[in-house]
Amino acid sequence: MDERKPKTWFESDRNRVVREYRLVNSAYPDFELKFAEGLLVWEGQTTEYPASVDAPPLRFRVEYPNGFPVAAIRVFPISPALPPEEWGHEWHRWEDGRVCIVKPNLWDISYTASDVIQKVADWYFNYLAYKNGLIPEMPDVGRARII
Amino acid sequence: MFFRLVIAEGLGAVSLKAGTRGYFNGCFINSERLAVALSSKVTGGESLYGGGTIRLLQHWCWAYGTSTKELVLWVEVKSGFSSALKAEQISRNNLANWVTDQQPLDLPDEPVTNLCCIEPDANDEIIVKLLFLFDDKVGVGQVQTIASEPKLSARFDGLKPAEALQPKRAAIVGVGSGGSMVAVNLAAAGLGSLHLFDKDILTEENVFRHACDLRHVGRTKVLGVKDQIASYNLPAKVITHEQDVVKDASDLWTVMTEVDLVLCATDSILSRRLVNYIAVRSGLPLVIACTFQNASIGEILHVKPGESACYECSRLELSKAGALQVSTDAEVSGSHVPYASESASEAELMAGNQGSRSDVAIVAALQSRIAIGALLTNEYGNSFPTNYLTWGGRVIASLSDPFNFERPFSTNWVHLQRQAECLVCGDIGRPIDKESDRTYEEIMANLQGTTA
Repeated sequence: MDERKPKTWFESDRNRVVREYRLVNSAYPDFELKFAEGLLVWEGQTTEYPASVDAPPLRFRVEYPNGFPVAAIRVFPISPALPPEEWGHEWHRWEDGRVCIVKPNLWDISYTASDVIQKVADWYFNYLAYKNGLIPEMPDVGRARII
Repeated sequence: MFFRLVIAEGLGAVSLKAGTRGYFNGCFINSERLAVALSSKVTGGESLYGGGTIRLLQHWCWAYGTSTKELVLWVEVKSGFSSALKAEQISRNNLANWVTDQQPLDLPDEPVTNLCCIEPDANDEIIVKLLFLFDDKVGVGQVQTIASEPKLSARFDGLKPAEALQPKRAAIVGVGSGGSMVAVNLAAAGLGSLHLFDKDILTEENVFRHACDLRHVGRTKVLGVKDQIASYNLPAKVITHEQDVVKDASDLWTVMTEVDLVLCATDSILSRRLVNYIAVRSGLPLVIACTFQNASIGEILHVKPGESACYECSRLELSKAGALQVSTDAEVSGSHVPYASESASEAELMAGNQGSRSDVAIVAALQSRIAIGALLTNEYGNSFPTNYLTWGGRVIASLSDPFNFERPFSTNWVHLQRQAECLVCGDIGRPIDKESDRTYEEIMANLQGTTA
């Protein structure tokens, strides 16, 4: 085994790490980069929700899989605990509770964690709007317009 | 009629340790299980019997004959038996006198019967003879032994680079129809070790185009290919990874530190892009192959990280040239080549456009040959003119170059360039931005001790 060779994307692709870091840091300075079980993750929260809804902020983890950047970033809500039965296309969540930010085959190698965090903010906004009956269904893309 | 017994080397001696007579009863083993091959009637007139051994548990040992009642009976015979046989002094009538246990032979009452005679001679050598008995006559069949250890070099006549390949190591991601053939090809060429990645189970439908046969249905493809390589008596060390690299690439990253070359023979765009990324960022050469239009078109790209186009570059360049329509979802058909075999239209299938096992085998052979060239830099004909090859199984004039073919079985060689905007390899070899490098070191230093 050649110990000098990289064993993760973040060892092999320094420029990408720096780019990811700078993008998230400038747009979401409260997010923190950490290690979790050998993977790089961002943790932080979004407080963007419909004006008429009283809800706690969504704290979540943005995880770079070891197939990143070819494999899509994964998003795990941390708190508040979301009902596990709320999964499927209706809720834009996977069965294991992850947020579906993009169809896996639409993921592009150029997408960054910063893009993902914005999508999660939109998702939480839409989730609360739908859960509180403000919209008939969660949109696939972007933030719902509440009339 | 011709009779032949194929047995493992040393079987005679082991049999005698067990007693003075017995049956070769068709046991075999692979890395998962012990199985027993039973005798069976295969035609109306003749029967085929499998006689085997658990001696080495590596080989199937078959005796072919027409006996319909028993598997091949073996008996210990007295010293001097083979000399008497050679002198034509053995007949059906006096045969029982040569058997050491003096028990009746109890041979089936058939026109022709097989009997295996094992003789310990005066020099502690074991002689195995296969007799076929008909009327009152005794004939001698052929006994063929299989070595207990693979002897690959015994078949090399100076034509193949087995010695040079022996220390080489490769990883193959995807051992479906094409990848399984590539694995066997590389092992047969003398490669020292192979890492195989695939999560899939072999199904009955896979078998007609796969290197593995029905015995392996229900097992993972990687285990099947591993045993298939062993069954060809090839000494390659095979390490299996029953994994979907798209879901978990950690093993693949690690294996990149242990091999000299990566081959990709997967059937999805995402997995090809992933293998390309990991190989390129690990600085490892990659030979990637896939087929279009049900294997009537094949493409093979040899990636030398930092020197020539990577897979992502190749998509960019072919897309710019109008040969491929690339989207993040799929590369779609039209006047362009459809990206994956499953995208061939029903009309094309109805027009007899199905790829056969031989089409897949040709692309697999080309990939294998290019991989061998890549492993033996400056040796063994590593003189391929370009880094990208397309192969056409039929005449095609309706697509864009390099996917048009004037004649069946022709090839197009194209040199694909690295693309500056490539997100996989575009930055490789560029001068290091010192500020970015410092930032990276700071990021990683700050991460120490942080756990989510």
